[in-house]
Amino acid sequence: MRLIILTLAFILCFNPIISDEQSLPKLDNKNIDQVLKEFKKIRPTNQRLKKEQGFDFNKLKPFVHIIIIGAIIISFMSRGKEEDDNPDVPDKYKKSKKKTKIDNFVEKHNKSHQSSDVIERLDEALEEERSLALYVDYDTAEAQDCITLFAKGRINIDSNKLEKDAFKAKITCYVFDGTEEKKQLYLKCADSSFHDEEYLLCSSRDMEIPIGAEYYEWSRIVIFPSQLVVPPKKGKRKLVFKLFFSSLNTKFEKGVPRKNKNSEIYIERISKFEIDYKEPGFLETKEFADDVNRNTIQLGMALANADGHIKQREIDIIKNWTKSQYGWNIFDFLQGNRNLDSFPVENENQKKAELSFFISNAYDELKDKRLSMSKIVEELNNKATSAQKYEAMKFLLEIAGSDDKLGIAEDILLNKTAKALNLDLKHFQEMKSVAIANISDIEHSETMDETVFNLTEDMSKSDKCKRLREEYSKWNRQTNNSNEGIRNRAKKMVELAANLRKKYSC
Amino acid sequence: MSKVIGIDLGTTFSAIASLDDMGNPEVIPSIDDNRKITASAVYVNGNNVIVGDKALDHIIKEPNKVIVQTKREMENNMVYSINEGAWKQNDGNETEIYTPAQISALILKKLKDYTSEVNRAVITVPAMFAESARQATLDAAKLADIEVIELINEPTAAVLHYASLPGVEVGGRVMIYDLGGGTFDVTIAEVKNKKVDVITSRGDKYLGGKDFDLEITKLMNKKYKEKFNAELDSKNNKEYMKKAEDMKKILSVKDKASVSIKGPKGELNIEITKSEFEESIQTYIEKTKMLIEEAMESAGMNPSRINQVLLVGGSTRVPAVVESLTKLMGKPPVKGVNVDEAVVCGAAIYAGLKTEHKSLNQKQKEALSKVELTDVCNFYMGTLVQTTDQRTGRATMANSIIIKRDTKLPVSVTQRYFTIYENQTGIDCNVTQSEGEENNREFVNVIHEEQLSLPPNRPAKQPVDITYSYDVSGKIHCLFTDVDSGNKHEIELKPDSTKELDESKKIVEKIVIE
Repeated sequence: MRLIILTLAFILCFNPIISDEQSLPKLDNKNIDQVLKEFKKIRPTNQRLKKEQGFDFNKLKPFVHIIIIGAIIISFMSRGKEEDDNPDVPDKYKKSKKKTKIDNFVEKHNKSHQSSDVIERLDEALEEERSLALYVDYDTAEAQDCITLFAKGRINIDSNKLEKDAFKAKITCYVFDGTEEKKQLYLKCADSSFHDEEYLLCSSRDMEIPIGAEYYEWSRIVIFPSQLVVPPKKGKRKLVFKLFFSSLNTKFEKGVPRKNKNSEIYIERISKFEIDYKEPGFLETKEFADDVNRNTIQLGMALANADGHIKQREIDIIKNWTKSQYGWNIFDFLQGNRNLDSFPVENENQKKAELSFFISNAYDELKDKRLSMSKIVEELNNKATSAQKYEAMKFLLEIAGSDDKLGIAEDILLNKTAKALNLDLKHFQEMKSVAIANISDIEHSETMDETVFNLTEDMSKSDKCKRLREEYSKWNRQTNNSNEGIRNRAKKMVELAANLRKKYSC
Repeated sequence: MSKVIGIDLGTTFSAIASLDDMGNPEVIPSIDDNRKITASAVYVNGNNVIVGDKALDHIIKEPNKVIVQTKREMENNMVYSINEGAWKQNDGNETEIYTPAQISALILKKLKDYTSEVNRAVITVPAMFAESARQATLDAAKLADIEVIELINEPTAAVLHYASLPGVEVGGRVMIYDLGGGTFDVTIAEVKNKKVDVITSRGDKYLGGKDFDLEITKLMNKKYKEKFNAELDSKNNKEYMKKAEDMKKILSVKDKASVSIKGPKGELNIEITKSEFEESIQTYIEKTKMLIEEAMESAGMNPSRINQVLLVGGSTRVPAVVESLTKLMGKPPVKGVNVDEAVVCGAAIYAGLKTEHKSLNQKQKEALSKVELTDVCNFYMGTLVQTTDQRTGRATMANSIIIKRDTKLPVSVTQRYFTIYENQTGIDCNVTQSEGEENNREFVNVIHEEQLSLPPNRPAKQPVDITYSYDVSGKIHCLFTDVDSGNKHEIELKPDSTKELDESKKIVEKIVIE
């Protein structure tokens, strides 16, 4: 037997067909990173596969048996080592040491020396071994946190079918929550790049499939930005990623292909993925919406009162913000699209009454000194998503700048709130910079100069010096802003940062 | 034959140099006083104008008519009002106003008169000059009938001169500390013999010797107030600034300086010590330190990896500046380069490099044969797109960067974007420029905006390719292409000959320069 193997291996090594086979169209997923770029910009495209000149597989027909046997032998001899050594494949996805169907087949075949319909069985085993495999993992692409579906193996689609669509196929992926087996819920999404007509979280694109196309290495096939993968509830959730290769005209409904003469599914695969979701899920977000709104209004009221008196302009901003909450639902929230028309008219008055109550109640609580900032923040930390918390901070910044003046008490409260809400303080400082850029009067005092740059007592001298340098650089870049207001504010901030650096002897 | 000319159009002083027959840069002295630098001051009296040091003689009697620090206003949409004696936003209510480009054109015309055959020139600009300021500089040259071969960044010109000095062997990383009258630039470059590769630049457009003068006037005011309990008259600021400049020069070599100041309560002899002066400018020195730190961080370097520090600009004569720099970098700056002339000499060398070979003599060709320069893009160039805020999930308009700062020139980058909705019949072709990697649209300058029409009745997500090409001269070519239809919109950001400029030219041509 060994002699046969070696002979076959020798023949295969010197057979020019092999070199041809190595040039079989290879799927190139370099461009998939572009998905993320596009997510940052505008939408996805069909550029995932690099088109190479098609190789006519028919040429191999006379040699197909030899190639298949050779491939099996090579695979048999090298598979274990390749996988173990491949650093790109995470351990958990490396194939187990257990025998595969091919191993079993070869072993059985060696023992039995049976040769009847060997080619057919080999072919079957080979197809199975090289067919498309998937796994899901956390990933980073284009500096964004993502959840990515990786693929390896052959995209085995009948070339006649592909030919009808000019060698293109539609690749579609849906995600559903399968934690509760009897109640599977499809994830939803508001971002137009990642939802279908029914607002289900979905990635879909057309891609070119050359004959014999194959992912030779684990490659990104579908990428979802992490913040869009929102399960129904907080905690450990089992997500199921469902991937389809289909004809271009295939339409989907409720996450499954519609049955009609134009629809045809070529390949269907699933991959499971467990996540521990730290924020309220989309069902909880809906459930907690009123509490989050109430807390946000309370925060707004507290900030408006930070300088000792609430101004009409500040009340107006709180009212407008409250009004904008009428049409909130999960999709609106994710997209920031508050379409008042989408809110049923019959509920509007009730909602209006509720939210008016929140405002008047928050005012009373503030007046009676019953408003506890720590309780508000605690409740927000339990019930609000980080997106909602950033929205709340944006709302507070709007209130703070409503009189075109930023006072020290307001600034301190802003900084403390951002910290207590566990937000990324660097990002908050960026948000504050945008607000500050449009405020002409910033209260000037030694303390204020420090709080405006969010310098805190727990920071070391070198941290302070570094922060001040970053702030100086940021504002120095704006001293040529075409907006005169921003330009003037920038010049003042540059002076402030430089003076503090001098004070700290950086 | 046209001469090979370089011009340093400075905030306080300007200069012109040509390449001599041996291929060495030579600063051309003023025809008025034979000085090699000319004050960037313009005295306007109707259609009669005095440019240079003589213009400053009118600063006491007619301060409103003396225009200074024009360069600081190049990138702003400001005009100088003779009536108010200051730079201000153009409200359209005044007749006797001048744009920065017009005043700069008068300075260029004056420099041009120092020698014959000045038709083409390389002009220097601060490294951090935005597109609008570069455009204004090109407009000024056009008004002065000078064809600009190219604009070159001031620190780049300085290091080019330094690397080209006969007998000077420069190798390694050089930091150019360019503190002029109105602007500060710090540049890090890799120099090997006469080959200069710029790595990065940082700068502050509002930091220079004029700010030191301002601090001295504040000290004067403080002392006057202590004596008379009254403040100096702000109307005489230009006079005080002139006296402060004189004091600064003295304080750069002596421990104290005194000056007699006339104020509302009488005359006072004011003495300022060197330590008082140095204390007053610490904030500015701190700013230069921060920019150096930023430049080094951006280049992935620390002081020990910088081989040489080169001083450029008249304000580097202040000892406190050199001391602070020496302390920060752990080594003293190199000597041997004229801080006032390095920039203009570098500009002349660059003009030689950019001049057709047949226009140079053999010696000039030989002198320039080994000189090479690679510069970088000093800004992020981008476009405005709709995107999703990663933190809030909200759809928002944001700046998408196409060419990154510090990318070697020339460069051409194509990025693909997509239409947003069905039947989208147009896209905005915005070109943005920013010093920082800004996403927020409020923090970038839109330097060009137009529309590209798209065919109707198409689904969403149609690809649009945007290509930005930035050439070595800093000219930007932008191409917006609708991939499906092939519709294109091209933008060439270069000097234009608008009607407004034609009118400016008529005004400048009417003026007689003394």
